[in-house]
Amino acid sequence: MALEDFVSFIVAQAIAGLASAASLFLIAVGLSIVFGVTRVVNFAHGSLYMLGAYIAYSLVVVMGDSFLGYLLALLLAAVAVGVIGGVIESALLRRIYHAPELFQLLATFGVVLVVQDLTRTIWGPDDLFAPRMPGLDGAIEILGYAIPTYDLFLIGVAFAVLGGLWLLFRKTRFGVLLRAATEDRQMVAALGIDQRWLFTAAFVLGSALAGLGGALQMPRQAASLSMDLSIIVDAFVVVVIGGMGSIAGAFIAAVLISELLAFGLVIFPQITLVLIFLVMAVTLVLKPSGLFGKPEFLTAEDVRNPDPPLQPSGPMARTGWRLLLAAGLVAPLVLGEFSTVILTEIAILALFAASLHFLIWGGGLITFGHAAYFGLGAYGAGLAVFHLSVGMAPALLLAPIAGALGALLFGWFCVRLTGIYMAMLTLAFAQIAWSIAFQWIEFTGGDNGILGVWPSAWAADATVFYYLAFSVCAAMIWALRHVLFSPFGYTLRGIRDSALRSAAIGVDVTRHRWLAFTLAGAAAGVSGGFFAFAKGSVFPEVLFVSTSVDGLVMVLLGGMQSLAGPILGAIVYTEIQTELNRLTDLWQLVLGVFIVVLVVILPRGLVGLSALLLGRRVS
Amino acid sequence: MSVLIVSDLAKAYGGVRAVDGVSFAVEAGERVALIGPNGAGKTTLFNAIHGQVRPDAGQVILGDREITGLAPHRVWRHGVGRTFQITATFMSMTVIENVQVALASHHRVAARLGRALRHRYRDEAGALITQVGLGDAAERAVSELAYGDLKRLELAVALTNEPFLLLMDEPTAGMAGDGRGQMMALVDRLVSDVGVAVLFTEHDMDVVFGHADRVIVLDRGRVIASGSPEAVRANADVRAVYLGTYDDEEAVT
Amino acid sequence: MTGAANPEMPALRVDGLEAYYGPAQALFGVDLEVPEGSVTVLLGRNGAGKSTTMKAIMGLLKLGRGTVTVAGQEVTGWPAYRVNRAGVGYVPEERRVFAGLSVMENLLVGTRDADTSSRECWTHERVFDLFPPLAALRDRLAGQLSGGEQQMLTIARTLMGNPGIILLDEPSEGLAPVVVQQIATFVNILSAQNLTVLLSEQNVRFATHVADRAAVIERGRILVAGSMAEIAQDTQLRDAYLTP
Repeated sequence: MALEDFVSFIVAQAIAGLASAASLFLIAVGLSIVFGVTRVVNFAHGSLYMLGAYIAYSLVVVMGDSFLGYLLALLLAAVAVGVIGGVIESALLRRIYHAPELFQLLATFGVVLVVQDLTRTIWGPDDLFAPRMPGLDGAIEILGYAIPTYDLFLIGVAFAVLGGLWLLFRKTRFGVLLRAATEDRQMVAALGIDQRWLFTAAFVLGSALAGLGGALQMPRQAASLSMDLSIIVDAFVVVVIGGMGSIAGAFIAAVLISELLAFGLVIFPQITLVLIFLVMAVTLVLKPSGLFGKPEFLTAEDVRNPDPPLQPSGPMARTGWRLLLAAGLVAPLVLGEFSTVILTEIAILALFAASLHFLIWGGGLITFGHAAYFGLGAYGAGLAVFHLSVGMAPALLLAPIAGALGALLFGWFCVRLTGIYMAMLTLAFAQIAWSIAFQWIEFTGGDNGILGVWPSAWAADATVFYYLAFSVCAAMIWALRHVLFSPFGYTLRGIRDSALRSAAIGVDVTRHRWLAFTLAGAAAGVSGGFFAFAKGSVFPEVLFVSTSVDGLVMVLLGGMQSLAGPILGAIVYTEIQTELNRLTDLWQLVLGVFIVVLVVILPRGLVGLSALLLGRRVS
Repeated sequence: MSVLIVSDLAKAYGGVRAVDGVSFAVEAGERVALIGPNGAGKTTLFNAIHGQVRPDAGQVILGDREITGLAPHRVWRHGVGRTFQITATFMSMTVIENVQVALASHHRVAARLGRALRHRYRDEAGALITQVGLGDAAERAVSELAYGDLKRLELAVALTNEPFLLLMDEPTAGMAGDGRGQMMALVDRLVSDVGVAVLFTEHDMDVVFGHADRVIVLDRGRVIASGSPEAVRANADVRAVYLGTYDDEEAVT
Repeated sequence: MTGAANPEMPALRVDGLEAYYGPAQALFGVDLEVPEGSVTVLLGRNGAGKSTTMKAIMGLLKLGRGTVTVAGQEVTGWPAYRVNRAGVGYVPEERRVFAGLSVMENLLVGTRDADTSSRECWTHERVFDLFPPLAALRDRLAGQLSGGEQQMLTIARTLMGNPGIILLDEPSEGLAPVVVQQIATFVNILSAQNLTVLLSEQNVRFATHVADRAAVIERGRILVAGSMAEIAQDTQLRDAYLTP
């Protein structure tokens, strides 16, 4: 390639990258503004982006035959999404501003599920293609490359929004109030400003920006039901790199990521994704709160609501555990074969939930990507059977190793962060694992999964396999519980209570958190291995965010502050899901509403509820 | 013998020199108070010695070993105990468990997965909490303790590694008159009984002038005066930037 | 240093107030009366309930039983912004200026148009007259100010809301003696502006210099209330609950 060809190629790629950065910036900056003011990471922000695209599609079809009509359609879509955002804020978010961040993520994920099913119901399951924008459907030749005029338009819009936001935040009283609220909400309220109004306004603004981002994508890509989750992960990456709450950070990170993608796709198409996550990981290790972010601080509530000290089981609790164990042993003898299959699943998922609970409650490690280690266990076992033709026993031994190795690698980065940053990074790593499984078809079978992962002949009978899974999972859960009482468990609890004090008594905080992460990864791996054999197959879904959310819902449903919580949660949740699948096509919608209701009404879970009813604390 | 030698220590934040070439030493069994106006660099200096922030320049020598830039958990291994201005304790544990966790770390078993912590180091932990006057509160949840008792517990935790230097950030802040006296009496006893050296910051001048062997005054990151309490009290610079009308009759403070 | 006290209608009245941090009760029936134009001090050690009382009055905490009345109007359970608009200014512990905002922007956040009261409205010019050093710093970021300057700003910011009564939470805690002396001057300035002041403090020496009335709080209850002089002379009280 001649030098001038090379230069013009670079320019063309750079412009294409900037055009992609435009939408990414719009959505990321909206997420960032909402977080800055309300301290909620809105998982449903991607859903608002998707709604922007779908609504724009419907409007464009009606009124998009002229440039102005099309432009108006895009703006109306943004306004409509802003209004929807306002409704979501005042109906739901307002009730969970004081909830722990994990609960907020979960509740907004519930909204994701609801919006998905509603969108499917309204617009149908097929991708929708909008016509091109009249007047901007051509291309301009720059240095010999044809650059779509619409791309230039997008770049113009992004700069206009950036400038507009700068003016808003620097030159208007509203903007000054938003910045003040980002620093200290309580103080803003004490100075006479109605926070509810400010929060709703910030949320409407952020939602409208997401809607605009989605609407602007219409001439470039089809509206599809998967746009919500794919964009939200990208947006997380952008705000994590740029720093939560920073507008300039969102802009620079969006450009960085989009350019990396634009050039990466040409140079190393296979590892583009890995490259992006590498950039993110390096940024976070060097600057844990992003390029322009401020470090998180503890709020007074966190400090003032400590858990009660750990108690060894009293006689009543011990009887409870024994009854649970006895029930597990007797159940398959009493119930039929279909129930045995479900019981097997419950035992496996109880271990998954317990390993998650160990991290969150035992160590204060907030993960939103625990599916990674469950899925690695499943794939570890499945791939061993498929590629190495090993039997069930060695494959099951490989599962925890795969889970632990994955946790060791991802955990090295994740445990350096805390709170919401950790939640987003764990999610991002899980999504990498998912996309590798999805895309590396030769090795993993991609979307078609790995089939024929059946138990060895001696365990082929459903009841025998149940007893195997039950005994191993019960033993692992018992072991995790034992660890909580060991010196390591207490050290971990200490780190959760005060990392400052832990370091001051000689505890290497990062290393102990890393060890806990790996331990939980191994336990999740065991459960994933059994899951593969229980299902006879492994699909990429085991690594997907929905699997992580399943685990979180079980923990939350059972009750966070109790060791029995995750088990109870696994039982009830598996039952509910089985029934829902049978009863309705709109199970995502029902599940979404269920999660939201759970977070808003029952934040202490079933154990908390029973404690409330019995008027005492259950351990 | 000097247990701590700080020489030419410096740390800047975005162009502001929080600590600007500070040098001093603390002798074994000595109580040294570090005072100065807000923003003088006391906390940064403390954190630079303790490893929470890495100094830009200078040295910190503990005994015969340089510890400049070591992380707090390593500094602790070299025999430094620390208490914080706003108490840092494990709020979801009992009093004795707080000490047991620290002892587990001291005995290097913090990562053990075996026998439960509650059965380990009970006697040792009990002795320490009795020493600070919390013997009766061993099984109480830390979240139920009064503020003064939290400060005592912090002291017990800081003593678990048998330190030869205690760094105490405002040991009596937030305590009532009686509590202050008792806390400082406890510190005095530790110094005379086991010969531990204490470097502390404090805003209560009665505590400083009543319990320090030597006082170092910081202003804008530099040492502006150092010496016996009487000498520092009479120093004109110190009166101007820090003490104001402290000794006057009918003074505000 | 006091205006005329009007026992008929105190600027602030708290009756049997209970408050909670999450599930933990922190106030167990606080009774307090702040006469119009007075400087009243709430004395007590750390954790006794001083800041909690202030936050509870301000509507920043979950309340149990009891009432809060501001200039005859009951404001119990109102959100903070409405309590503020009813005439209560709040200057929190640790100053809490908006560090990333300029001095002028900090004042802008605090600006509230006065209702139809007879009192003269606070403007930038008036607060700059009161705290002259701030005028030169108007475009400086609040985070770059010194501790004393931040203390001026946080008071000035509260004044911009035209409060009738100001709650000053532990203005001297953890500050150098010279800064504490400066703060005493600020309190006297406020009092001279005919403002009613309720401040919380653990330092009796400081309190005697600024306050005319005092109440001692311990474990979320008021132990004793009266004139500052009476309370200051009670040595038993001082040793047990206060910092001399």
